Amino acid sequence: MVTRWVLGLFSLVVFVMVYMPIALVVITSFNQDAITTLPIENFDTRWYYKLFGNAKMLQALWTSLQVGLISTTIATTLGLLSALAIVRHNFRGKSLFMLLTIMPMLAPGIIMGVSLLLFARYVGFQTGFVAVLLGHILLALPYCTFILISSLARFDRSLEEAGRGLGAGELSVLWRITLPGIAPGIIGAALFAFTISIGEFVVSFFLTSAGTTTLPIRIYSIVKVGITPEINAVSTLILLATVVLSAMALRLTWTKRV
Amino acid sequence: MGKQGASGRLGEKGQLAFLLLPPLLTLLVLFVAPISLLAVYGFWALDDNYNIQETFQLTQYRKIANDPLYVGTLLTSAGMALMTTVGALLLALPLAYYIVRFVSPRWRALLVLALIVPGWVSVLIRTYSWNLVIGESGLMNWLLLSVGIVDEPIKLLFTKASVIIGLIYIYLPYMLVPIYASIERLDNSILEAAENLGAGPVRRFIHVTLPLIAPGIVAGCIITFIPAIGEYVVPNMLGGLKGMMYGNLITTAFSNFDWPFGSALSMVLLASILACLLVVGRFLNVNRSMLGQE
Repeated sequence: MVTRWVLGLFSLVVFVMVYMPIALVVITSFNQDAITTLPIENFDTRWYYKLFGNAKMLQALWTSLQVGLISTTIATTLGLLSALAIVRHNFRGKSLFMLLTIMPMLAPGIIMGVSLLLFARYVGFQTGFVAVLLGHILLALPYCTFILISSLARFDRSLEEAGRGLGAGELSVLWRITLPGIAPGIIGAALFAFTISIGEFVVSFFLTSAGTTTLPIRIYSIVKVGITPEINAVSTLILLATVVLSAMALRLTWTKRV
Repeated sequence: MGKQGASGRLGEKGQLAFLLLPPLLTLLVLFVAPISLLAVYGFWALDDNYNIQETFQLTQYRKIANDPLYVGTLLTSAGMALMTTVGALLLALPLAYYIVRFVSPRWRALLVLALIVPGWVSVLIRTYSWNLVIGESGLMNWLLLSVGIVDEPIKLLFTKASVIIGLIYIYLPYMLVPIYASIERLDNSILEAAENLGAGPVRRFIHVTLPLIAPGIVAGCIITFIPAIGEYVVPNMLGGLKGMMYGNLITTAFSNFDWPFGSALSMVLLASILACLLVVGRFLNVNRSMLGQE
């Protein structure tokens, strides 16, 4: 009984610590004064209005959305191909391929950033939009692959056999039976990929060019000078979007153990 | 997977190639090739005009070995990553244990979800948010000053401690997930057996639970330590000069356009991580064989 209360209190404290810093970002974004410290005299939404007139910030948002949507589409497609190969085929070097797939998830972000920068320069590839895009695809690929592996492994293949028995070709089986069957996994993988891309900083930092500023890079350049309520307003919007998207993704891909 | 699988127009081999080639090429071009190039660059050097001499030499590695700054910072970073790992473990273990043991299954998933979801928010935002907590005019000092515990604000920001706090915050979800999963998978009947045999809660935890969830703990420690030792954002935002980490040195070298030196520094980091993994793997093997002999 004592253990229970002590552990409960401890857990409550940890829970509060997890939410306190981001709650402060949200709260101080509503401060009417141009400061981000407590106490707050007047609550106001003026920083949010100001945001919609900030052309640089809107430009960064647009870049982030473009990079996010394109990298998500490509990473999810590549992840699906990988997962199909891993779950449904036996081939030599399969475990090596899986190890290679998981590595970008484990390597420190800074190593990925500098090595991609080096490689781009070496082969004469301009850093900028496409380079950032490629970096984000690489970062999201392991997550997409492993989420789709677990979806495919749980998918009941007798449905496909039924489809084939009724005369459907391989592509038609894939398109009409398999893909709809694993739709929650696909949507979950895509949501994760998008969440990663929208918040990614280190790799983008090395691969960006003057014309390609993603939202986190814009935020960084401002926060380095000083935190403003306006920056907290942007962060609050990103926070809101990521929390909703990742909660949806986790709900879709959560495996219930029996 | 029967012979039917091969009945498509492509055939088994063709299907496999169609599936495997795009992701494999992506990984080779975007990961294997860049990392290999990084390894090669580390053996090159810059001449006086900042042109790259593509000849094999150990100049960069000699420079790293001869200046205590580099090895020292690497060791400091390893120490900070270790403290982060221990800190996150000490938070995650009781938390996960409480959620599995004392929270009803209905609320359990929601609670874990609520703890993981903030982990998906941009590292940049989560890091700078600590400025608002521990900064000179942040929440902590505001509370301490209003209550009157201190007379002037505590300068916690831009120290090693603030970096470690930030790192624990960023990597707590990494630690929590594998530990929670391993505790959730525990077979309750084993714990009941221990209880029936007269083991108290502490003894039960140390002698029964802990050995059974060890794989989850090891996994959590590994995926926390590896990114933490190479972290760049957290020391950059919360560290200042006192809380600098190895990642800052790599970035500095690259922003000075000394790519061969930056590459050599990166390779030293990768090699250190690999060495840590090998030691942990070795240690686990020894443990397993000892358990087998018992």
